[in-house]
Amino acid sequence: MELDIEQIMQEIREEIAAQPPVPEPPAFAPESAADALGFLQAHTALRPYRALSGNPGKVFVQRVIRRMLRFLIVPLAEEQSEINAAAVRVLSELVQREEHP
Amino acid sequence: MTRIVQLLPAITPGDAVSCDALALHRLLRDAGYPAVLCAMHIAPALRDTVQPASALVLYPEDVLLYHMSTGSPLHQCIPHYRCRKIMLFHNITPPGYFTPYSPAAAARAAQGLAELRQLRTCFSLCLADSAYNLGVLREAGYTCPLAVRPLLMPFASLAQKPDAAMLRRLTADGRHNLLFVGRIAPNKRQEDLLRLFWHLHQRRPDTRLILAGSWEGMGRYYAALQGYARTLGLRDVLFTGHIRQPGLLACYLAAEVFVCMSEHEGFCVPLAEAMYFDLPVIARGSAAVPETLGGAGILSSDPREAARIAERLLTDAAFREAVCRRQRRRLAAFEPSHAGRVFLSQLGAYLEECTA
Repeated sequence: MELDIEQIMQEIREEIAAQPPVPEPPAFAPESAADALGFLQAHTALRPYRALSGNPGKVFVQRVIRRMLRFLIVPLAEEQSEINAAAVRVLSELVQREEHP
Repeated sequence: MTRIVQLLPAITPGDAVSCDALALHRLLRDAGYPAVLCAMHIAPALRDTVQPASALVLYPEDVLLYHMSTGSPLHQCIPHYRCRKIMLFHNITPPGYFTPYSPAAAARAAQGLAELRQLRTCFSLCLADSAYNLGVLREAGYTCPLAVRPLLMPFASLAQKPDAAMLRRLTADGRHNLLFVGRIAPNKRQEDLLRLFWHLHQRRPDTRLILAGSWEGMGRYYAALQGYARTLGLRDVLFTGHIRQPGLLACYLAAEVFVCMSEHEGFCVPLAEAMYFDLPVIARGSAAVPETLGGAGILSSDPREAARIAERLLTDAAFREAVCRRQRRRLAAFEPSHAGRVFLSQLGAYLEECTA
């Protein structure tokens, strides 16, 4: 004879209803300020390079272009990274002041 | 001779739409059709099988099968192709899910929905993975013939050898593993899986939750989930990140229960894969999930209730067997040979109608 799954489900529901209410876990916050700050801290420094993929010819051309643009891209990335780092420092301090006034 | 040309924005091994396209390509070839598979972005491993979309030339006697699952510049070409066109619709996640985490993903999804509406008069037939997806097409204004086409399940790839080291790692400590497979994405509601696990862990500390899936492009949601796991004091949660097939197989083999709290799914292939591995499934009854389960598995949207069901499945062998038996019956509907026959008959009827 096949077990009645619906009956077991009913038993489980009755069991839950009969038990004293348990504390619910804290709600999920889509992204807390601490999470967002963590994300900013982890991504402060821009990486001007990405792994190149494709056939060897395409990779070669991409590498040449990358080398040619290095003089432009690398200083821009460094400058933006410094700006990011400063912004993250300010935000971190504000969060600290908020948490430990 | 009529060529059957599949076109999709991107193709990469392991992705559900790509797997479907590759399986269809083999099916069409085996059935004697001159089949062509084209994509805009092609993963290096598939460059021998797939042609670049930029080189695609279509003739009036060709049939185009366009896989629609996201926004893509390809949609601009569709109205200009002078051939017969069929859409294979795989659903588009509502952009609202992505807005708090990835404006780019939200924009892509919104673009996809806009393109779906723009293309509503371009196809003479639309085939979707589920009746739920057909509803989405109707809402978008599609009036052409619509039908459900069962997905070609990649069951053959599930019979490969698993990653032995990973399997050992997941089973050596004797913990009971709960598994969810799917990319880390807000519509999959992994936070509810963490809540479910929190409830279970109170009563059964000898358990582990495995979340197998890539967080690429969803780094902020992933960070929020990690923060939430810390808040809940859950240490036994494993985020695998992008995982290769042998690793995924190890996860399935190490797991005892498959849990899914996803809120938006056009089909949800991992549910069928879990049934293939004889894992009892507990899932939220949202979107196409009840249709995919077809009365098998157990539907529960309440994490606390789902945790109690998981606990019962871990301890009550008769209950577990009853659930799995029902799933085995359901699994027959996903038999690739059946899905292949359905698709070929749909295509045959379409071609006959075109020539009549």
